[in-house]
Amino acid sequence: MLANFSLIIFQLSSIHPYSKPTIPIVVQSILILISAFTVNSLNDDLETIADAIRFSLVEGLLGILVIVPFLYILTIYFLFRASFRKRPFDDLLDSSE
Amino acid sequence: MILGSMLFWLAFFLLVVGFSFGRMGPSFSRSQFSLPIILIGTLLFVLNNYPIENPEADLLNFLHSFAPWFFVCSLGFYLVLRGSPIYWRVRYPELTIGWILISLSFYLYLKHYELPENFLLMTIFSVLGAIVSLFLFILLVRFVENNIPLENPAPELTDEEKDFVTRIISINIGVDDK
Repeated sequence: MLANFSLIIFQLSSIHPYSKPTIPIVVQSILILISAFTVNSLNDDLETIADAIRFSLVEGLLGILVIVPFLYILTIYFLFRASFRKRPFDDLLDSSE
Repeated sequence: MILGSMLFWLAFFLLVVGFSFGRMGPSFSRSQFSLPIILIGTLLFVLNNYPIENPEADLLNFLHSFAPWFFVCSLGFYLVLRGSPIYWRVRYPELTIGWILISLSFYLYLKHYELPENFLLMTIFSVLGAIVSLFLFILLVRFVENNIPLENPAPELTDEEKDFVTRIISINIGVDDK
């Protein structure tokens, strides 16, 4: 649901004369509604469809944010390599100017 | 939904719009509205003093433990990238400060960060959902693109378009077009 919401906002805010976002947005909106109805029927605490959408968005955001530290560890490895690398000298890119 | 929660979602909406605007236009000339909208969204997140109900309150509590190390680490990444030896030029001050900030972010992470309950299950389903949605989006765009009838041959470029193309090529090959 979070990804569909984000993609709908992305398509609407990056609209230009050659984009054809109607069909993707309609299908994604239907999918969001189906997901919201499903979540609402499975969870007794959620009274309305709006509550189901809010709950799903929060769970989705938490799920994505939890991965960020692991991605950052991977990035730190590549930055470590980039910080200490020694590349062979190339006369074409001689910076002595 | 109470006002605090509505402002929370408005801030989230503005952030997504801001990042979407940031992807518009050629790489050397992105939309000028991107940064102001991201700034407004961030300020709305930070300055929202109205009470927030659940489930947004849970997310906000998590963000309070997430934000300190995340921003410090991101700043460290930026400085390390600026200081790294690209074309044999190392900027030692940026590189050193960047690594100090990254180390500091580890301290902040261990001190403030708390993983939510059932985070593994939540993560697996969130990532799976995002992958399925992206895949479906690609299929939908492909379907739409394949069903658009071919248009007539394009007319010749106008003078304005010719100038624009010349400017893009000049920037890409590093020649000043002025």
